Amino acid sequence: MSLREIIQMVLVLTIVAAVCAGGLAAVKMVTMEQIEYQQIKFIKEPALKKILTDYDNDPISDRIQLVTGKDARGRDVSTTFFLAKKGSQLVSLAFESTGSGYGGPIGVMIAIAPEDDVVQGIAVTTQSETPGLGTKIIDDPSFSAQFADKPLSANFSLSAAGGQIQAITGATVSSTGVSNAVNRGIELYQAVKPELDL
Amino acid sequence: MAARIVNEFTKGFWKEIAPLRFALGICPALAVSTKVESALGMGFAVVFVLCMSNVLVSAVRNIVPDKVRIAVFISIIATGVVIVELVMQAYFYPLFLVLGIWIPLIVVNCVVLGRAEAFARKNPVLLSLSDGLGMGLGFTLSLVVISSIREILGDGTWLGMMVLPEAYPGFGFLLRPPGAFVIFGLVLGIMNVISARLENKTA
Repeated sequence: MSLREIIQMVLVLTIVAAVCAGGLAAVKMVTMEQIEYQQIKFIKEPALKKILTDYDNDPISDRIQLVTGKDARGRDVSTTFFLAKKGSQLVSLAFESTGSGYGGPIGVMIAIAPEDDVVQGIAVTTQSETPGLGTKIIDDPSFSAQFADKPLSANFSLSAAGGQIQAITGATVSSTGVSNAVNRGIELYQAVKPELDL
Repeated sequence: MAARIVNEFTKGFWKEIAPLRFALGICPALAVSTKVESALGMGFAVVFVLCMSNVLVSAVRNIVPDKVRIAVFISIIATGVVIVELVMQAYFYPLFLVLGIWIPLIVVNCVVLGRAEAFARKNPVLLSLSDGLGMGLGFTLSLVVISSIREILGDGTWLGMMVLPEAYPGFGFLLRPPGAFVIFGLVLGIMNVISARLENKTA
């Protein structure tokens, strides 16, 4: 193999890789915002539709991000809040919180009315629970209905832990996950409420 | 030249239709052929990747040293696939959710690398584009045929519309992976019988 050949190979591969990487970066930049919107629309919107009532804006475009804590490496973690308005009056805000379930994290969307600090409703967004058992946290509407229309001061723990929520039979871990997610969400809400400037 | 372009285009539909003649690219052909809609989505994604890779491979064919050609081809193909994946996520999200893992797997679809290696690296750009378009649409056609049979007989629908009477009980076996193999085999067999007949006539 001559030196010329080696140089040509290295050169061609470098140029091809650089052009490909540049092209991909450009496409990624162009589509990034749209992809974020689509993910919210198809994964979060069904949950939002379930728990937000009586509003006339698009809560997905009227969303704000707030720094709500730090992760293990000290970087800021932010949470997205979806604002539901009627007229120009803020009627509720929804955000996602997570708790650990049986098969992985459970994402729960929580809607809170800031005016009187009432949980309006909750809906599970993402989960990987056992089909037929743990998935009842989604399929059995009477479970998530237990969280609705309760003041923030209510005890959202399971009845076994002294709270007001009846666990789903055969799915205690999944039920605990949802209950933890709600408790954590309420904590988070109370911590950022002053910042929200309502 | 014009005749050759047409010829390279049309061969992809019957004479060299990739999944059914060479059993190339049958992995997605089996996996996403449960519904005509996902078969079409997959087909058009492959058409785009195939045209792009054929054109680019053909354009750089004289400057890429033989020893590193596979690495160059794969970089080009992988770039095309990621572009498809991003665009699909941005504008056709429900389709993206259905096709999921099968989109990135187009990178290893033998039809794409096969055409780069067997055709595009030896032929000029225009011929390669025509070859890619024909092969891609031929691939789409195979997927649509297989998925039509599976969706109609399995579910009683075609492209989501009811085509069989409401009372049709459905044949779930065809919608599961083993059903894909059976239907693929039957289509392959029928096609071979027809070709043999046609050849006898002309001989």
